[in-house]
Amino acid sequence: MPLSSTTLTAVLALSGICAIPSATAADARAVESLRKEVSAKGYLVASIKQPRGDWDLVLMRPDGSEQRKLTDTPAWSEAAPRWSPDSRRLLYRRIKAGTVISHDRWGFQGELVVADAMGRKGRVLGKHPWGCWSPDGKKISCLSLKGIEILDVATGTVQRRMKRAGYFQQLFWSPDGKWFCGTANVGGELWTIVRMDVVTGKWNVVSRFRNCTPDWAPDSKQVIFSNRPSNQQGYGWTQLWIAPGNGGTRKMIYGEDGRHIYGGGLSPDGRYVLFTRCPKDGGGSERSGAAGGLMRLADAPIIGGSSPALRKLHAEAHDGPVLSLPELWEPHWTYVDVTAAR
Amino acid sequence: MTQSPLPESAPEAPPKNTVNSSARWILGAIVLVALVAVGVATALRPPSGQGVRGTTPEDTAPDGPVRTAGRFEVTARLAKMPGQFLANDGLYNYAFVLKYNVLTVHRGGDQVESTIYVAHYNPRKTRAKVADEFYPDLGGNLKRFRAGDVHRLALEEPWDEHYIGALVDRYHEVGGKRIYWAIWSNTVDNDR
Repeated sequence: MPLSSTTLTAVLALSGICAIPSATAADARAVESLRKEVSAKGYLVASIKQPRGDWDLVLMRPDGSEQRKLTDTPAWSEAAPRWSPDSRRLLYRRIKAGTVISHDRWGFQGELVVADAMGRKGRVLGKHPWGCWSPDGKKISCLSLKGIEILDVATGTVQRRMKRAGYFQQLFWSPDGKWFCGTANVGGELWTIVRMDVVTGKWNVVSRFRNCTPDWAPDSKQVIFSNRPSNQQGYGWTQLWIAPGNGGTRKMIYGEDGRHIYGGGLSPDGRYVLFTRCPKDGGGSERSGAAGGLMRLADAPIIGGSSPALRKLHAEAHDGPVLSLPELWEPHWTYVDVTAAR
Repeated sequence: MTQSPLPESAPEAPPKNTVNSSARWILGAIVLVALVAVGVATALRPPSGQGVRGTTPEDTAPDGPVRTAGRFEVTARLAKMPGQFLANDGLYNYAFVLKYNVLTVHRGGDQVESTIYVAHYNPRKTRAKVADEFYPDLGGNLKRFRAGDVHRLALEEPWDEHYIGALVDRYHEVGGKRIYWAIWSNTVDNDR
C-alpha cells in the first residue's frame, strides 16, 4: 500500500527529528565536557535583573550553578562588578532602581562602590565614572569630562590627571598597569578602540569602526571587544573580536547572526571567554540582560546558529562548544574561592 | 477589561445654586482685577535676564534660555549638510558636527569666527526632546536641521569640556577649527 503524502511527510519529519538528536548528542557531550572543565574554576559575578525590577549582584560557578545573591537591595541596582586583582574586594556601580541602565554609558550612571569580595561592607566612593582597578588595587582610573583621573582608593584623592585623547567611554586599565584601552573618537571615526600608554599618554588605534566594550586579556597584550563589521546585510550583528594592543590583525572569537554579542571578558588565565547573546542590539542592560555564554578561546572562531552569511566569511569557524549561562549582564571571573573566609 | 452589562448611571444633578447675584458680582470683580494685575506684570517684565538656568524669566519665555546659556550666542545660517545623520533609535547617542555661516554675534564678541562648526547632540530629535539624564540642559524650539535655515544658538566651547560621547565630525580634515557645543537651538524663521 503506497504511503500517503501526509504519512510520507510524517516519516520524513520523524527521521529528521531522529537525525538531530545524534548531532545534538555530540554537541551536548562537548558542552558537558566544557562544563566539567570549568565548573570548579572559581566564581563568576554578574548583574541579574530581578522580577521586582532592580538588578542585584549574583555569584555563581562558571557553569552557572550554585547561584547566590551578593546584594538584595530593592531600592538600588548593582551593576558591572569587578573583583580587585587580588580578588579581596569588589568594585561596582550603585544606580537608583528604576533607572534604565545604558548598555554603553553605564559608567556615567550612579556611584562607584567598593566592598569586600562578597559584596559586603560596601563603601560609596562617589560618582567616579568608569572606575577601574589599578594592578595593585590601591588606585582607580576614572574617565570624565575632566580627563583621565587616577584616584587613591584609601583617601579618595585624585593623584594624577591626564588628557583623555578622544576617549569617551569604557576605559579599562591593563593588568600590567602600562596601558589603558577604551572607546574613542579618532579622526572623524567614532567608536574606535584605542590603547594609551599610561605614562606618556601616547596612543594607537586597536580597531576602527563600530567597536565598543573593550577589555584586556590577562597578558595585557591583547584587547577583546565587540564589533559590528560593515560586511553584513542591513544593520548587521555585533560580534566578539580580539586584537593585539599594538593594532595588529584582529580575529573574530564568536559571532551569531540573530544575536548581538557583548560583555566579552576572559578568564583569569585567558583560556576561556565570557560573553552575552542579545537578540536586540545592546548588551541587554536596557531590558533584562541577555543569555550568557562561555567558550574556550582555543576553539575560536565559533559561529552560533545557522548564520549562513557569517559562515561564508569564516569558513574555518567551529560550531562550538558553547556553555549556556543564565540571563545576565557584565559578568566577571575570578579563580579565587571568594566564599572562603579570608 | 470586561464590559459592564448595565449602562453607566446618569450623573448626579448639580447642586442648587445658593449664591446670590451680588456676591457673584463681587467675586467676578476680584477675578478681573487679578487678571489685569498679572497682565501688567507680564508686560512690564524686563526683556532679558542673567543668571542660572531655572532661576531666570528666560526659562519660561518662548525662546528659552538662548540669551543666557553658554558663553556664546549667534544667529547663523546652516551650511550644506555633510551627509545623513546616523540612526538614532535611542540605543546609541552621538553628536553631529554642522557648519554654519555666522550672521550676527550676540554674545562672545570677536572670539567667534565667521564660519563656525557646531556639535549638536542626537540631531534626529527635536531640540525640545533632546535633553536626557546625561545632558539635561539642552533644548530649543528647532524641529529639524535643514541647509539654509537660520538658527539662533547658545553655545559653549571647547566642545569636549561639555560633552563626552561619540562625535560624528565629517569636517575632521579641516585643521585647526574650533567646535562649539550647542546648548540651546532655536529657529529664526519659525514658519519653515
